[in-house]
Amino acid sequence: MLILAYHINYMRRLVETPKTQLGIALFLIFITAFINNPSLKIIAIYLFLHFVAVASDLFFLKLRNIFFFSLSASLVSASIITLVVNPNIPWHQLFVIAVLAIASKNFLRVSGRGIFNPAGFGLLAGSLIFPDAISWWGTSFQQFRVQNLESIIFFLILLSPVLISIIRMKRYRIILSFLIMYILLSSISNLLDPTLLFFSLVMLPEPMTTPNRHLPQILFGIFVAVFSFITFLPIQNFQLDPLITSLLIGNLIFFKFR
Amino acid sequence: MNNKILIGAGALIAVIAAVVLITGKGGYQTPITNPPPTPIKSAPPTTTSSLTNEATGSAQQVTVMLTQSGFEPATVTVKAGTKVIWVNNSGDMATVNSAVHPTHLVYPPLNFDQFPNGQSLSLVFDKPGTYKYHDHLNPSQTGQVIVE
Repeated sequence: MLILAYHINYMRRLVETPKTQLGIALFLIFITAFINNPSLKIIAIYLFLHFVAVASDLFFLKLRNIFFFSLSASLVSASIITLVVNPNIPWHQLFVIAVLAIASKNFLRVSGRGIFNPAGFGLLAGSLIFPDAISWWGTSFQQFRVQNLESIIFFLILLSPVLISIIRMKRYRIILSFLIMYILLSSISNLLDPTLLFFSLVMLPEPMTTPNRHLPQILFGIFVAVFSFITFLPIQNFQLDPLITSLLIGNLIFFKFR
Repeated sequence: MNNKILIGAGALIAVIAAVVLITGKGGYQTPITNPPPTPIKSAPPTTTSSLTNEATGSAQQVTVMLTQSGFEPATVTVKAGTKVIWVNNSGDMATVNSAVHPTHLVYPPLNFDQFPNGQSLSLVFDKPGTYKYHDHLNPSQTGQVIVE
């Protein structure tokens, strides 16, 4: 009974952690993406990426002689990759992207903290090796249409990370500064763009790779917004994803200010 | 002291870049401008050849069908001055937007508002180059126009 109580207590505390709650929110977003695009391949990609992420995390931790292991970080990275990666790329490309993400979490670190957003690193590095690896397929269909109840529900589920990023982790300075600057540079209509909302609520405010102090948080958000409009390379047949590129450059520049 | 200098420099760069972009003096098009689509009469959905290359007078035009599986054909190669027509046969709303998702800045004239199933959009490509685009509502569906 004591052991059972211990495990129940452990699970309860685990579920209450922001990372786990974010994982649950991402799973719900994935469910809506599956409903919008029902296919067994989507489920297979989801399971494959999560398996590769966990397995590679275990492997890399063993290489680093670290025995404590928390699933939540690698699962969150795998969920983000699932929703953003192009589902039509070959399995070996999915594998490489997931491994690169987890490798960056384990090895690109300073003072015990990762430099880059892991999912973002894997996706961008993958897109440099394999063209068209990024598609945002799972975070682009949730258009807010007042007359369509399903679209409203999907949109609200997409917004569910607000409860974690803004309320629990209090990263609202990063999110708001990014959104305000992005809208100033583009159009107010983008405020409801699902890709932008997902990026700003889930990927942008990742706490391990973003500043903790208030002013650097605001500058970080502004920087990522501004840079996303100038990171596209006007080179034929080669264009970097602007949001993820600017996020990773922001991670690199601002990691000293955490 | 070094931290403050770096923060200040970063803030200055961000502000300068923002001013340049907002005033449009940086040589970039205003982001996410959505010129009104150029509707032409709705083309009836077809399941046969989706590429028509018709010469109408001195101008040529090419048709690209947007179906549930994507743009067909995904790549068209045309001469400068050709009109490319996108017909939405996907069964739902769709868009045609320039690369890269979601900022769509590479070629802003290729940014259109949503168009419903059965409707069409068109654009004349005057300059040689490769113009990538996608459906913003389903960004994994991509295409490109190669202008010679």
